[in-house]
Amino acid sequence: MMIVGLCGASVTAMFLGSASISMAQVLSLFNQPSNPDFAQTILLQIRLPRVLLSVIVGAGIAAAGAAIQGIFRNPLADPALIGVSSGAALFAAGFMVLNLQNSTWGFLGLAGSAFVGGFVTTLLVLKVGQRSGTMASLLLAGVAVNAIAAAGVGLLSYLSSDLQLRSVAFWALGSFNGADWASVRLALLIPIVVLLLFFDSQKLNAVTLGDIEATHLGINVPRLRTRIVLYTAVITGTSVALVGIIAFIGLVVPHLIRLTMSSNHRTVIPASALLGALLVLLADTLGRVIIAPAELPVGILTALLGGPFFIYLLVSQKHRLGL
Amino acid sequence: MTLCAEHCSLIYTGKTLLRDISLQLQSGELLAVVGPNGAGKSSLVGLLAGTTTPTTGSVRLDEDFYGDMTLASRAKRLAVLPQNTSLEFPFKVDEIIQMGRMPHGGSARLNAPMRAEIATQLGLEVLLERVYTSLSGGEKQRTQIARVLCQLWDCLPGGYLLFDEPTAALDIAHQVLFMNLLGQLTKKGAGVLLVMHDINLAARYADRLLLLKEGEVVATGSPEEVLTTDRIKAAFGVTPEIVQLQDGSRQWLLY
Repeated sequence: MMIVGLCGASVTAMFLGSASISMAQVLSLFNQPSNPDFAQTILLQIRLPRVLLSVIVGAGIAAAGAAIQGIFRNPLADPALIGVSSGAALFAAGFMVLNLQNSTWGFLGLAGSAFVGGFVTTLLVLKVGQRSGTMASLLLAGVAVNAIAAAGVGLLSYLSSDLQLRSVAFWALGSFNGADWASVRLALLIPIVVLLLFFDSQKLNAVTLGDIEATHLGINVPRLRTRIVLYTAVITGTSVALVGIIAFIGLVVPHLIRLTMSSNHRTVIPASALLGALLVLLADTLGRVIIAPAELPVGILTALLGGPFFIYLLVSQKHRLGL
Repeated sequence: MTLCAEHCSLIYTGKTLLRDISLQLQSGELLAVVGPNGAGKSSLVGLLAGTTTPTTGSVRLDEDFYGDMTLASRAKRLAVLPQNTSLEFPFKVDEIIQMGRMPHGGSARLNAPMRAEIATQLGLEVLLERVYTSLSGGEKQRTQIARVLCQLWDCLPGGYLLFDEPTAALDIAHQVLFMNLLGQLTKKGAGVLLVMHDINLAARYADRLLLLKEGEVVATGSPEEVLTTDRIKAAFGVTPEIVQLQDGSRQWLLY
């Protein structure tokens, strides 16, 4: 059902937008692709990559959220906990404010520095958290590193010019505005890692029982933890680098699946990926339609809709959530 | 066929938790560990389970040292229920029991008859489709027990089961059910070690008792040998009255 929904929404999203293109024109793509006109250029060069990118990123961050909640044994965990988003934001802000595009680091570009930042921060959190080896210490290390990174972004904002400040703030909101085929190609890393997460879903089930319990089921928990955190860092780092921060999908989507389908990660991870893809696609399509020809950044919409919904979940379903 | 600790000591941040412990858990034996709070009972379980490494001494499972075994191969011969297992995710009871099969692989559908059998033995059959987080404490405990049993259900003889206070949350009917089930498993060749606070329950069902105090083995042997008035008083600071049961089979402690 979700697969059908996703396909339907993808086609619908193709013909919605500030330039009006009829459904017939969308469908004509499949009939006569050798006839490039204005509408086809918009469809093929702008909307199709954008739809694909939102689907891939949505699937990735929702699956990453499911995995990180499982490995932290905490239904309220979020990929941001391991520091990947704040680290990416710090490096991206640094790149913009310190004008690094003309320095030796210029080759990285904005997306590259965000990815590197997310990854370096995650490694730092892992390193600090592993010293005492418990889940709690990893979480606390994440909190501390997140705070430092946020302070760093604050400091950079303070140093920046008005124009730079605007681009830093805008970048943090998350937008698929810049989607093109090059970013879709980079994003193809995400579905591969989601597949790797899926292969660990049985082990994630066992880890929800507890570290010691999982050890007695034959699982090397520290190794699994490191692996899941790195997978999550790759997914989140790539998506933050490409489209900025998209709030709440990684937190809310796995919950929806657990409430309506199952807690078994064999279901939770693929189903979260599908639902995440659908929701991000819908949010992005909504964002570019409601105030057309301008655009509302998708990160604002997901947080605006996801926040109240999450409060509703907390209040109405707390028993089923096990809180 | 034994799970065997030899001259094990455990020192953690300068504090001696266990001192020169040697014990053998035989296949087909039900061994109950009793002792006051802080005596080192859970440390002993951790040691035998391989989750804590002894400061001195060694632990062997059928002559294999823990250091030489992979976690996966150990999990096929040893199942452990630690004291406080908390689970925050709304899994179904049946799904949790299935997690016990992880070391063996195999599909959930294939193992369904085994899970149903274990659930029936523990009075869980009506709860199989229920959500774990909505259960009572005793029901959660039975679910965890079922998971641990499921891990070695078809691996007897040759399997060892360690439980840290498994009966604490159970009502008397389920205590009896559980202890009788363990009796059946030991007959099939399981080696079972239980940490218990209910000394009478331990004495009623265990083949052998081990009394632990301040990290040392005070006594080990049959319940009658171990549970003397003096030892109970020395270990717990409570003077019990020992009553012989009418059929003369066992003694009962009043305290």
